[in-house]
Amino acid sequence: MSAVTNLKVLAERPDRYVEGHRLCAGCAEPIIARQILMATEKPVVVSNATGCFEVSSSIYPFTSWNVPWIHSAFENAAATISGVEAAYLSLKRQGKITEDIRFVTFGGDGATYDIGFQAISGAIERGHHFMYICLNNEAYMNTGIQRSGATGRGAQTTTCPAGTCVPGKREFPKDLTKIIIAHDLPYAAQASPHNYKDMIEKSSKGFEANGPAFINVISPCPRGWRHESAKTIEISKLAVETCIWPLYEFERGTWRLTGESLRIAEGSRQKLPIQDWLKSQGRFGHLTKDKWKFVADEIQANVDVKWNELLKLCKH
Amino acid sequence: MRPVCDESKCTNCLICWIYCPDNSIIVKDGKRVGFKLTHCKGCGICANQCPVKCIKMVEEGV
Amino acid sequence: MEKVAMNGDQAIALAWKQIDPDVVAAYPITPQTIIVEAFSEFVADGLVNTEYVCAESEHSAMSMCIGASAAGARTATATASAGLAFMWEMLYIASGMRLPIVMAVANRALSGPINIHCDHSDAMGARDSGWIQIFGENVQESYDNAVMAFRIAEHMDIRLPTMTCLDGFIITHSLERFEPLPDEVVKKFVGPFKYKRSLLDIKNPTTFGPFDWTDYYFEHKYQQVDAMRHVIPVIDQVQEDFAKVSGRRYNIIEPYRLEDADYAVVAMGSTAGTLKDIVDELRAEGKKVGSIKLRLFRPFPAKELAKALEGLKGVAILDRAVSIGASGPLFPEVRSALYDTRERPKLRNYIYGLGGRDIKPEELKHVYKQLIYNEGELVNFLGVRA
Repeated sequence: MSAVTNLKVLAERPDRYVEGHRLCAGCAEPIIARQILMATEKPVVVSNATGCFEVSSSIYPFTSWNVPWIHSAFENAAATISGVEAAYLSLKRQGKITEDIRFVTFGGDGATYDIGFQAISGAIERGHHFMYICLNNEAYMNTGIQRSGATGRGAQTTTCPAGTCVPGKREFPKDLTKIIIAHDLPYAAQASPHNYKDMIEKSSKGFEANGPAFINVISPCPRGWRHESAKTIEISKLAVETCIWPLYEFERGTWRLTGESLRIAEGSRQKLPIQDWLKSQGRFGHLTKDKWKFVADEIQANVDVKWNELLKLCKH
Repeated sequence: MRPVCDESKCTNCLICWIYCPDNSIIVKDGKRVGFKLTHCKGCGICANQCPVKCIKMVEEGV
Repeated sequence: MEKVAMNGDQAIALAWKQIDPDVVAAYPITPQTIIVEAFSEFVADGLVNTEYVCAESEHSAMSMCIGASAAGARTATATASAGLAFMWEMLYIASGMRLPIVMAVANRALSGPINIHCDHSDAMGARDSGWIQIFGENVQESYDNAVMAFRIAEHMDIRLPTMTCLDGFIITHSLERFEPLPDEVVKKFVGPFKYKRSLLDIKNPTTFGPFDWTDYYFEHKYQQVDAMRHVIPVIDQVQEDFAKVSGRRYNIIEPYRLEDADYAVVAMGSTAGTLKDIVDELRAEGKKVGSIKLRLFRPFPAKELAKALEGLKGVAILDRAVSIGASGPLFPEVRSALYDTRERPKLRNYIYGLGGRDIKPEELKHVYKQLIYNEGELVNFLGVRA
């Protein structure tokens, strides 16, 4: 059962997430959410962790949500949806509900990598039928661009600024996608909003995983990453082309590259140098200084090591 | 800033529609028929991503 | 119905079995563990329809309850001490979202130091959260409270989460003979679960838990305050209905031999039971004393307590918790309730039993003695080696 990715067909479907939200101009999050919500025609119920996406789409008395939606707190969107899904199973078993409903959770990298990690790990371990989408803009953006476990090495944030002594974030980001895959769940993937066909196909698989699913999506942030609002999609593509955010999936034990990452592995597309990624965003601006050049080298080395690991896992 | 489209060049690929963060591209019967500007924030993604570059961002009030 | 012997935890699990909630999501913590263990045996034997979720923490357990209740499911859980503290943030949210979640709290001391025994500090820490708080004296009352709680929480004028408190170990682990209601009676008493809106009502999509700027938060909080104001009449009615099916008539405050008393002691939980024996002993000696068992702490029955205590010569308030830097938590609430009465009794606070320190009859007699002879401080500590 393959996903519909024909834009003309998708454009006829009712909008599940509508305009009027207060997200910044050029924010990737609404682009990602719209694509994902198009990946199933089944009714969906959404849970959302506290963050830019949640706050901006639900300012009382307005809402951008045309589907049932719940926000309860920051670290527990996965736990909240676990409860909703449990209610669904119970009420369905009692014949009180007959619809076939899909459950999806949105959380930022803060809610997913850090404060909400426990809840998502528990929800996946228990096998709830839901799909968790991490909107990864690599920092705690809603509270003012502070570093998270997902922030890239060398990136500037307000809690790891680039000063005279320290060149931005010292640590490499947590590889959360691999940690989630270590739970042996039915489906996990990395995606990017520039490749909507890949995103929708992966989301469709996630919706039909018949168990927990997880998609980690790179989500450029014009405000936090310091780039022009018009460049959001272009920059998300650069993340994939430089292999700092490869597109791949884990489907019932099988690792597979997709999209541009697959073509890079096969040799039909060029792997771009990490300098292209670093040059595109102001948060890495300090890395052009002579004394911080070694950081860019370390980042490239790390990208290469991880890319080679991924190639092995995907049997390339 | 707001988007302005040269309709003669538009191929109705709907790339602008899939990438618009604010649902501001009006699509009818598979064709891009206009912009709804009430919630357009002028981000310029549509202009940047259009494969035939038929969308231009112009300053409001011009 | 025949009496059975169970401990308080088992009695709660029995009540849940009879009510058959749609969802139970819980995390084990001493001394609540027997509730979740006993209930999971019912699940394993297919005796309930409940979707039972072994949460990975209490914060997640309450989050799951919130998700489930918002999805139109009757939801129950239980916790104690650090578990209640861990879900503290979510308690406020459950109430703010007007979800009729029912929770049993096996009252246990908060760390630190770590202690697994009874005091009321856990429930007291949650007193501002917008939950209805009911305390029980023994296994019978804890079981009855567990049944009534669903009717109270789910009442359409209320829709507030409700916690029924039972003393850790003292009630939770003590085997007592009590009379459960027959299954059909419980089912009929509690009735079907009704809700205003549900996440699973696909045709009417609802946004739960939106963001409020300064222009709406206060009104939304006021709505909770207003709902709490309706609780006492609803509880009175539920207790009246419960009396009809059980023969046991509860009241939110239960005076004992107070009618012609000069001195009284007020307590919550199991100590209220001990007090009745002390009152009987002292009455036999000719002392005009009484006691009050306070069953409802939130909403606080200020009017009812003021009416009951007005005109007495002296009243001691027993607190099984302390607000460090102030007094016990119950004391100022009673004092405030009596502030505007014409004949205010002398009031004394006795903080006792922290961390499960046993309260002895002689110590309770000493409280009455201090009242009668006008001894003691405003705030006293009972049974501590100072």
